[in-house]
Amino acid sequence: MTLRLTPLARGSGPVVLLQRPVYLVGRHPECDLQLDSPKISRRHCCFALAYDRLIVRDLGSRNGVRVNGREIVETQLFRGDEVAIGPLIFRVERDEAAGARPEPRPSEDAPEVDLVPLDDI
Amino acid sequence: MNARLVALDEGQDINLDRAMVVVGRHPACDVRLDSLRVSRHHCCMTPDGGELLVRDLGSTNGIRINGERVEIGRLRLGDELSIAHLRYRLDAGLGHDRTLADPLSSASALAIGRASGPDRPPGVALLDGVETHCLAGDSDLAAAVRKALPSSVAHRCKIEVIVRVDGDEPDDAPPPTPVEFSNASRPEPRPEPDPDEVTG
Repeated sequence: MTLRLTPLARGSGPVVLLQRPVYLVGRHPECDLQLDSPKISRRHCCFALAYDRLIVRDLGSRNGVRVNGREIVETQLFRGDEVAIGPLIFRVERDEAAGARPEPRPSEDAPEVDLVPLDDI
Repeated sequence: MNARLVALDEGQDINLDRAMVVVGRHPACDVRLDSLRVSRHHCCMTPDGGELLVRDLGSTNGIRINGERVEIGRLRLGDELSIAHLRYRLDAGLGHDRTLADPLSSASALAIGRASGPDRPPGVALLDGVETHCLAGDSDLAAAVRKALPSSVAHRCKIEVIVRVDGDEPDDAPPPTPVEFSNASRPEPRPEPDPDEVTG
């Protein structure tokens, strides 16, 4: 099962398909998911997929990470959860089509980022 | 995988019993490394398909896998990870190295039993990927001795192991003779027996 993060307010952020074991999220260009907002820390949080669980972890960000409105340091995410990374709010959804199509289709409404793999990992 | 990173320098081992382990100097980290060379949030790791995925979190002094600086990388068992100047080796976390001669460990006998299948000639088992000769009824210690012998000799001899405490006189043990060749067609020099070790 592939999960994705969909911005709650359309166009406020990219749709993120979670297919790799670790996603580093922040303002810094080295992040796997770069969110360009001054309220996002350079390394804000990271997502990990392990043992079929999705986990989010705050990395000492200034504006924090909230899940369903509660500030967290680390927590497991489930479908339907709302994750706020600083000012950007995403919903955890199941990506139905992820198994059927190898590459994510560009969405009409929200810009979709193609996460570029680092080197050959 | 109940793996851990064994510290090769000062400091504690890192237990990898969680889905994500964040290492750094910050108090909120899962593993705190109290060194100024370690960044507040230095790296994070997560198990992935039997390997360990390690990602640098923008640290000043970086991480290295087997000496090579990486932004993100995978560790297999035995690989070395450096977090700034601190080195670790990925270990399966079995607790202790199981050896053939360890009488407390049934792993060796088990391994031999499991490895010798019907498709192998009797007395030949696969142990640790190396074909080795052993006979049914060999004790762990005898099997270890047999493994240490050259293969030309290993399958032709009978091994008995007698362990004697210094000063003890054996009552009913046979006089110490070295490895006895059941098929001694060609004369071979008889090695000097070590009375405290192996006799046959």
